[in-house]
Formats: sequence, C-alpha cells, structure tokens
Amino acid sequence: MYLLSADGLNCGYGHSQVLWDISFHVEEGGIVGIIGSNGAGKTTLLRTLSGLVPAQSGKIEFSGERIEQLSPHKIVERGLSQIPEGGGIFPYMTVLENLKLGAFLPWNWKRISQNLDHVFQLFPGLEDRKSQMAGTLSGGERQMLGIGKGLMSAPKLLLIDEPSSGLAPKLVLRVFDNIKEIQKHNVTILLIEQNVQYCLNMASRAYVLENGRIVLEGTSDELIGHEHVRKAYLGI
Amino acid sequence: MFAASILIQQIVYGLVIGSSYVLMAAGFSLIWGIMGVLNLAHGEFYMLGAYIAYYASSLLGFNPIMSAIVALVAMFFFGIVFERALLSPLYGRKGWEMSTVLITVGASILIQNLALVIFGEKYKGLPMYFEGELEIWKIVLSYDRLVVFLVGISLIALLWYLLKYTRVGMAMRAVSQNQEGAYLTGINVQKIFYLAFGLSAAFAAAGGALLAPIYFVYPTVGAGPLLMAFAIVIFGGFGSVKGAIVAGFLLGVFESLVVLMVSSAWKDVFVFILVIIVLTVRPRGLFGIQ
Amino acid sequence: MKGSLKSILLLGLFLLLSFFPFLFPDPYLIHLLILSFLFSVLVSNWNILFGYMGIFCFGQQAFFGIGAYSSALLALKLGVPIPLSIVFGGFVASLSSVLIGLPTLRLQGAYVALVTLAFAEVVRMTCSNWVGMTRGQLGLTVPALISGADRVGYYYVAFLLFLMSTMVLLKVMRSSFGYVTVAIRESQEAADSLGINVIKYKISAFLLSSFMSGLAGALYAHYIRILTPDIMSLPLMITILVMGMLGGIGTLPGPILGTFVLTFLSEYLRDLAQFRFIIYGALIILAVLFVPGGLVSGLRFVEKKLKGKRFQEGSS
Repeated sequence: MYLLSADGLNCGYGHSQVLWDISFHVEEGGIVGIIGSNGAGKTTLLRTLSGLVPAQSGKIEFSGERIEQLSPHKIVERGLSQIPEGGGIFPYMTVLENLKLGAFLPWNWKRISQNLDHVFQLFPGLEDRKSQMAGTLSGGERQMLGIGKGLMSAPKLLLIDEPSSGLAPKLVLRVFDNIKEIQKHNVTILLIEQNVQYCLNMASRAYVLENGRIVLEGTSDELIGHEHVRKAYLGI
Repeated sequence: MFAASILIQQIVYGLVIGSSYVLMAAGFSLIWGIMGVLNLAHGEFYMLGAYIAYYASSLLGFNPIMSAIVALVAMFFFGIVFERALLSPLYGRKGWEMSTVLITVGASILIQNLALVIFGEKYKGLPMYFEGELEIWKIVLSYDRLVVFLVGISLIALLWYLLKYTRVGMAMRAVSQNQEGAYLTGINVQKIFYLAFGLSAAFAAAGGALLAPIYFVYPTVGAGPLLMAFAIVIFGGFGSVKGAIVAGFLLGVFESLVVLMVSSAWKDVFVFILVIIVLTVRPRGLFGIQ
Repeated sequence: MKGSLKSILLLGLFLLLSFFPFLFPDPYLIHLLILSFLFSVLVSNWNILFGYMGIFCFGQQAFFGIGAYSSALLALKLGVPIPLSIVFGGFVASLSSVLIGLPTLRLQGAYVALVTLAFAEVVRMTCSNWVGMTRGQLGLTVPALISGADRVGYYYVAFLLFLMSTMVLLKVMRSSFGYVTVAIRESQEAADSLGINVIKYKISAFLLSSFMSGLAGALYAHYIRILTPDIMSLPLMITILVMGMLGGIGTLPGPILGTFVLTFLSEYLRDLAQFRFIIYGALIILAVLFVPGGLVSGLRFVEKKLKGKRFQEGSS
C-alpha cells in the first residue's frame, strides 16, 4: 500500500479548473518528484493535497485514509506536512518562535525541546539566528527555517514546494543535502520542482506535470533519458 | 494657565479611563489582525459588560472586581456564539469584508435596541464600592478609580502574556501573519477565530464593567467606546496590540485634557479630528501592520 | 417577449405615479410617497459609492443634512429665492464631499468607514453646538417652497427630482463610468494597473452622489419646514443602509425598491415603534446571511423561473 496516493483528482478554484485527472502515488521511505514548469499547476496540487483548496472531484488517500474532505489542520495531524514555497514562515516572529510553532500539535509540543535540539543539530545556522525576526532572513535562510519548521512537526510525509526557487546554486545544493538528510530520518518526501536536474538528482521516481495533466511517469533514469524531457526541460 | 497639579490630576484620570479603553481597543485590533473583520458591534459588548456589572452589583452585591470577572467570562462565551452564528457563515463568500461589516452593524442595532426594550432607556448609576481615596502630592485618586486602573492593567498584562508565551497566543499571532502558513502548521484556524473573538468580547465587556460605576449604564453607552476603540486602533496601527496599548493610554489622556481645557461636549469632535489628521498624514498609525 | 412585459409594467407604474394625487388624494399616502421619493434619491446615490464602487461611505447623512441646512440658511439669512437655494444646497453638499473625499481616496474599507462616519458626526455636532447660526436642537424653521397646505405641489417637485436622479444614474451607470466603478470595487489595484485614474472616478462619484443627496435634503427641509441636527444622525445612516440592503445594493432598482418598501412598512409598524429598530437589525442580519442580494435578487429569481417556464411552453 502506498503512503500517499491520488486518483482521478480534479482541482481548481471555483469555476476554473487547473488540474485534470491527476493520479500518482508515493511509497513510504522514498523521494518522489513532480516536475512542472510555471503555470503547470504544481502549487494548486500541493494546496489541494494539504486541504487548503477543496478538490473538485477524485480521491486522495494517505496512510489508507481518504483525506480529500478534511480540513487542513486535520491533515497535518495525520502526519502530512507541507513546506510551501518561501518556507511558510511567520515574518514577525523570531526564528525560535517559528520553529516552536512547527511543533504546534499537542504531541509534538510536549517533546518540543528534543525536537528543537534535533533541528538545531541539522541546521546550526538556525540556532545562531534564533532570536532574529524571520522576516529579515535571506532567501536561503528562510528555506532552511521552512524545512526546520516542517521537521518540528515530525511528519510521515513532507510535501516540499520548489525548495530551489530564488536560490543561488550553492545554496540549492545545501538545501538538497538537508532534504536528503531528512529522508534518512524516516520522512517520506514528495518534491515539487521546476528544475528538472535538481529534481531527478534527488528523487528516485518522478512525474511530469504539464498544463494541468500528468503526462509522464518513471524512474529518474528513465526520465533523464526520455526524449521529451530532454527537449522540453533540459534544452538538449 | 492651569496649576500643574490640576493638569497632572487630569492626566491621571486619563490613564484610568485609558486602561479600559485599551481593553476595548486591544480586542478590536486583535480581531482585525487575525480575522480581517471590522466588528461594529464591539461597543455592544462593552455595553453588555456594563449591564452585567450593574446587575451583579445591585442584585448580588458583587464588588467591582468580581463583576468584571463575571462579565469577562459570560461575554467570552457570548463572543464565541456570536462569531460562530453570524461571522463564520460568511468567510468563504465573495465580498465577505463588506458582509461582515454589515452583519455586525445589524447585530449592533439589534442588541442595542433589545437592550433598550429590556433594560429601559433610563441611565442607571452604580454607587462607588470602595470608600475613600488616595492622596499623593496633591493628586487625589479615589480607591474605586484605582481599582479600575489596577484591574485594567492586570488584564492587559494577562493579554500580553497570553499572546507572547502561550501556545494559543502564538497561534493567534501566527494566524494574523500568515493564515495559510498557520493552517499548514496544524493550527485549527477556525478555532483560533472564535477564541480570539470570544477574547475580544470578554475584554470589551471587562472594560464596560470596570467603567460602569464611573459612567452611567444605558443601552447606547457602547457608542462612545466603540468610536474610541476605532480611533485608538487607527492611531496605534490596525492589527497591532502593542499599538493599541500605547495609543489607548495616549488617547485616554488626550481626551481627559480636552475635557479640562475645552469642554466635555467637544471631546468627541477633537478625538475625531485627531483621527482624521492621523489617517491623512500617516495611515499606518504608530506601529503599522502587526 | 419578457422584455416588453417589463416595459409595460414600468410604464404603468410611471403613469400611476404621475397621476397619483388625482387618483388617490389621500394626504397621508401622498406624504409617504414624497418621503419615499426623497429618500430613494438619497439611498440610490449612496448606493453608487457603497454598492457599486465599494466605498464604505458611512457619512451620506451629512450630505443630506448639509444640503438641508445650507438651503434653509441661504433662504432665511440671505433671502435667496428658494428654488435657487435648493440648488445651492446641492452644491454646498458637493463641495463638502471634496473635504471628506480627500482623506479617503487612498484608503480602503474600514478606514473609509471611520473617516466618513467621523466627518458626519463632526458636522452634526457642529450644527448642534453652533446654536447662534442653526438654532441647534431647538430647531430651525424653514420657509416653504410652495405656500399653502396642499401637498400636491411638493409631490410633483419630489417626483421630478426622483425622475431626474434616476435617469442621471441610469445614464451614468450604464455608460463606461458604470463599468469602471464596478472594476474599482472588484479590485482597486487591478483597475489602477489598467491605467484607470481611480482617484478621478472616486471624486466624480462623490461629487455626483453628494450633490443629489444635498438636493434631496434641501427639498426635505423646505417641505418639512423644521430642521434639527438629528436629520444627520447615525439612525438616518442606518436607515439608508437597511433600505439599500433590503432592496439590493449594487443594483439600480434595489435602493428604490428598498426605500419604498421600508418607508411604507415603517409607517404601518408605527405602533411597534420601539421594535422598529430591532426589526431593522434582524432584517440586516437575515439579509446578509440568506438573501445578500436583497429584494431585487429575489425578484430576479422569480423572473428566471417565469422565463424558464415560458421557454418551455414556447418550444413545445
């Protein structure tokens, strides 16, 4: 059984539909990627998965349970967390407060100091800046904070929206190293990315999202070698 | 012009009144920051708090502190019911900002006039509870007023602590800064909405209860404090509780001085004019957004 | 098919109103209609700002009152002939709108509500306190527009004002101006980015709205003949709000419908005077929750149902 699966999902806002017939699955313990350029509907998909936007039709299953009708906080309670683009941080609170809020759920709140230590170990940079206002952080630091915050919720599956966006290549590599590190700690990851190279480097399997539909699916090796991918996304 | 002691006396009065104004304004600002809702029935929460204090005192003989607590608790639940019944149906709708304003206007009219019918239009007065006064360097402060000030300050401090250090308070701040981010953190935003609303109603009612012995109690007593809350929140910056606190005391003192130097009839006009000036010159207020 | 039925109904209504005083010479009914005409002008013009443009104007009552007092004082103190003073009343109200309009131009929603409300209150309190000029709460006796106790003359003047206002609004809102105001309501930034001079439109809307409201107020003054500052108090604004909401804000017929219904309703509910505002409050709440479009949306719903039926009959 898969940790997360979507079947025939149609998503959109009000009368406008953005995604058609989306089906995919994520097994436990891996990193799966979804590649799509701007406007393909990536963010809409993530918002629907997290319950911020109701799905128009179709089903989403997480850990064997149907979640497409649940409110967002209930989805987080079940272990599905998201790091939205930009980190989803609270700009007028300190780094420490942001991290604490990551552990908002009651069972996490009890173990807050342990989780904090763990996150500070992974991201010593965050500990240095713990009293700094989150809004004053640089792009890369925000991303780090976002990931740290996501970790504080001790999720089973982490949805990550474009972690590379707006970052210099060196920083991107650091972010991805961090993500790999997280995965080692038993967190399954669904990675949404615009940058194909980064994505296929990280993920073992991936889907290609184009104009609101899933057009390709395969292992990263398969996809890197695929003609359409090379032409449209790698410019080869 | 005026003897220093008279000026300082007025300033002290202004601070006393200011402490209750802050309670009104802090709640108002909180709701605005967290929910984006302009609650024009906020004055009615104050009024209901005043009536609760009146009946608690005259029927049950409660002292002002007890009355304030009763008002606080009772109106907390009233606020929750209000939010769930009247506001939450409107959130998803297009044009909800206008709808929420309109519905709170309707509620304000309804509650005020129900109070008029049920309690009667006569101004009700409450006798002073604590006899005696404090005198320091020619400044006289009745014990009653002192109690108002102390209770007010305590409640403000309580609110501050709540927002800064407790889990719920942090969640409230989070929702006001990034609502989607808050959802993604597992925060039940709808619950935060009604808790915050209940809190704002409770504090407004406390303000009304505390000032009941000083001003009279009557159905439209909430109008002045509502406009004051508005003025304070604009002055201090919409959504900023810190701003509401600073501006609340400042405007309390300002109003007190206007009463001394001009006349009581014109105090509202002066406050309004001050607000209009502030809005034109610096629309963000003292402490801006947040 | 449907269109011409509506036109026939409207024509019938127009004829009825035109000859009403002769068909039903009941002075009480005529009085109610006069009030309805005047208030329709007030509410319709407020609707331009609130319903169409999304400007939270909570000070419309000030325009009404300024028009009333200006005209009354010009006639009383400077001996200006009344028809002229009424027009001047409108202009003074228009001028005052520039004063309120300016601070609100760059503001949104809540702020505008407060500024306009504050302005209206300042005007009212000034009027109330400046006893030397306005006689404050004691009341100002205003010379009549039409001498004699007969109301028929006033009826036709009010009717004329009503027609003029309605036609002006119809023309203005159906033109490109109308589209722009709605665009501004939907999103001020979007409108801005499209090159629309939002400020110019807002000022124009204020000028028009306040001028008409001022005219209505002036006419009211010379009809009722006693003025107190209470005519620009908050209860009037609330009444405007309820009339607009009941009929349907953001539409042209809405405010008119709401005004007539509420004016007649409140007269019949006169005995329940204390409950009147309780009912108003409850009406607003119910309207917002269940029928946000007001009576107009209710009627349109019925119209659609009828159209649907006719379509079916026609095709079979």
